[in-house]
Amino acid sequence: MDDLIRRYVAAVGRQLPAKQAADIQAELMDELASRVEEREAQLGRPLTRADVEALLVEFGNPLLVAGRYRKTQHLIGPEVFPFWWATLKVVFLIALVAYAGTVAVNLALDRPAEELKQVVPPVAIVVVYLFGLITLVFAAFERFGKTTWLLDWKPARLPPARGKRRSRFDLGLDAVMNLIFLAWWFGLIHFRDLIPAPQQQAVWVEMAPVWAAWRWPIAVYSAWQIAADVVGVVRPDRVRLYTGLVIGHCLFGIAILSQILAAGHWLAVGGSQIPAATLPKLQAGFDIGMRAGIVLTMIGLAVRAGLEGWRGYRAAQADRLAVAA
Amino acid sequence: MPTDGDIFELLRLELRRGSLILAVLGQLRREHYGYTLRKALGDAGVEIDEGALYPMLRRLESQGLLESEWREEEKRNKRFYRLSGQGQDVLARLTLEWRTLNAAITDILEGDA
Repeated sequence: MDDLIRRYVAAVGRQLPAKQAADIQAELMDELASRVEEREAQLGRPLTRADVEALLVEFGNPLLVAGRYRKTQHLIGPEVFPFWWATLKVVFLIALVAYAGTVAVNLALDRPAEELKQVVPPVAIVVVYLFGLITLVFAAFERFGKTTWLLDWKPARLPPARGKRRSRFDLGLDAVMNLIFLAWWFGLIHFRDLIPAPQQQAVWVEMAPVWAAWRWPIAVYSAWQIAADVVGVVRPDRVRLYTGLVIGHCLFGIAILSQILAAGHWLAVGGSQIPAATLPKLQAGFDIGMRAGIVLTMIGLAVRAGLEGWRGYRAAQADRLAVAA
Repeated sequence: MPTDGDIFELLRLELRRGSLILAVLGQLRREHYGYTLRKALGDAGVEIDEGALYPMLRRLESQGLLESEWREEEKRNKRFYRLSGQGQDVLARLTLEWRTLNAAITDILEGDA
């Protein structure tokens, strides 16, 4: 009987910090001995082994009993939890998009399943890895008390209550897409794997020389969009600045496209298997398509600039009315 | 899906959690060791699980609210706890807080909604 109690107390002690273990074990031993005496007095007989077992089960699992003496009772507490959860959602969403994109590109390239497995890690590993990494980071914040920056916020920086706003995810994704575009535009990344080299194709299409003259304005146009996205994410309260950036971006885009439109020839078409008589017709078809695309893009940008201007005007009016009230 | 009983039990535990510390501090104006403290609290109508009591005693001692010493009694070594000077001060303030809160909640519960 005493052996069972000693084994139980030793099991608790093994889970305790070494400095406190002996002290806590001695106290538990006394508590259990007192309980045994009390139970024996109630029953009017010595406890059997089964009685002691029942008493210990009632006292609790050694791991649980020892756990209650720990200073840290949770990995992520209620204050940090909402930030951990929000980060997890955003990261999983981005990972899902990246994952789906990578798989789609590899499937488009008709790569064998074995090769695909080498390029794309199993989704379960990605999920577990991201979950573990984010949880570790937030558990470290919780453990070392570096949570003040999470809780530090300014009401004045909250976005206005009225009006539709693009979500942070939408803005972030837009910024990432523009960064990828810039990397491609300056030749830092290539999509050669996706699009075979011109000489290997029956029909090939390349960008006409006109685009080279607009290399920097188009880069500025893309960077401008990134700047607007960053303002939208970091300072959602700066509605006027964001609106101004978007309108300016649209007008700048219209200005660039109007100049590019004057070129009249935007894509170079060729191909070893195309009859010489067909080539001009094909070239003309591509140019008509590009002209329509550029004009439609300009109309789209003009509509967006107008809508943003109208929303900005309405928001400013609402602000004036609120101040007057 | 939690039943009404589960929800009630959860809320009851939450309600009791804070008041248990007050009960323990109050009881330790007189010296006790763990077992007699738990019995005294039980006799007063405040049941407390030893799994919660002993870690609480350690925490309160590490916060300076309790003092303890090992002494032999009834042929066994026992750890005796009592309220420290700082503990008495904190108990007085918590008692005031408790009475204010109790009066306010009584007013709410007995008043017209």
